[in-house]
Amino acid sequence: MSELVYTPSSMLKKVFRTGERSLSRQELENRLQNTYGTSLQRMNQSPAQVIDEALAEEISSFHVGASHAVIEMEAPFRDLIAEELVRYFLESKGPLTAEQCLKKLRRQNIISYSYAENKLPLYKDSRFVQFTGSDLWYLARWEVANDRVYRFLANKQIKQLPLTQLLLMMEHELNLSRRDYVFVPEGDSRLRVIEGLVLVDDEDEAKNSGDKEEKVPLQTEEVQATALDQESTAITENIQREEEVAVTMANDMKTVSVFEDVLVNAQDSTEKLEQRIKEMEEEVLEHFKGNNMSAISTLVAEKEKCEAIVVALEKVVEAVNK
Amino acid sequence: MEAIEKLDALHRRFERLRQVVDHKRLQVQWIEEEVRMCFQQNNVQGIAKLAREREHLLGWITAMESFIVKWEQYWREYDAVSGWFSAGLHVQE
Repeated sequence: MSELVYTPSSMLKKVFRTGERSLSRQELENRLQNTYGTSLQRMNQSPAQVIDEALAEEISSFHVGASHAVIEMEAPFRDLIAEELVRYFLESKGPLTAEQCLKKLRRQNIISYSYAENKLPLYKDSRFVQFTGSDLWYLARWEVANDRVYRFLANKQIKQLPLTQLLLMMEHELNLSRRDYVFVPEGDSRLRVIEGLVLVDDEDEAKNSGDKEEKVPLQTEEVQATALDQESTAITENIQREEEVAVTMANDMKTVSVFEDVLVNAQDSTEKLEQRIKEMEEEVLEHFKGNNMSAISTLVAEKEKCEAIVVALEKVVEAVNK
Repeated sequence: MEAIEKLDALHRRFERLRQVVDHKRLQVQWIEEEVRMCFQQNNVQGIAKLAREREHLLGWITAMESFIVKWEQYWREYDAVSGWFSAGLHVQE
């Protein structure tokens, strides 16, 4: 089974604690072993190799310190771009690619069009992490919710459901706030996402079939090879059939998921407006200290507008839930 | 001024005045909290009233601080020259 594994530098970012800037190799190895021991064992990698790979990465926030035994992490004191990116991640409540981050920053006029992707703080700031084999970036503070989601779906014997519904379910049924938890759509073979539909693989079935295979008596190599060929063809056919069914299901589900999309968007917008109102409260205090009454009047007018929109959105949610 | 009326020792009067100034500063902070409340109720008039009140308080604080600095300095200089006030203070204490 393919599983979610952080990239070497992301693993290091995760094991460095807040405020730590350097660690001894030994301590780092111990932490990696304690935190990612099982994954590293499956990949036949040692913590020392992970450290070396992280150091060798083209853009890395880690380097060897004054002595070979010390690993240091570069940590910018206050990076406005990084802070803006954290806001984007929290707003989108999910992973983003470096390209998406660049576009958002350009749209907000925070960076120029010549700003190169490899300068983005995603690579060096410890608040951002990435999984191996994926272009998507995540916030390091997010806990991966895939295990819990999988257990929940397996218990309920749900074989497939739209991604939007899964995200709603995460928040409302599993009580996993999307500020703290994230569903990782790539690299988890138990939960495959095809055209917005999440397919749940039955792990028990896979295990059972594995057991049966072990019971088959040993035969000649030739017979075994033929059997393996047939098996792999059957598996490929099964996967193809499953994917075809998934695509058909996805089309059917699209209609249902439109309402869910509307609901999610309405809730997201409400959250954004409420966030803005809170921000405005601080801005008002600043203007008050500067005795700038006209700016305060503008903010009050903006707040009234925000509140009117929130009321309208509440009506939308009510209408969808009817 | 009634706050310092019964205080005969001059240095106590200055201390007391400083306490009053601190209290006024606290009032300025409370006003800022009230602004938050007014904003939550979209009450621009209330904020304008609080802004005037804050200006008044800040003016009072500045005036009182300069008063304290000026007269305390004057007292210290006079006291250093004559020693007359010090003697009086010891009697009071």
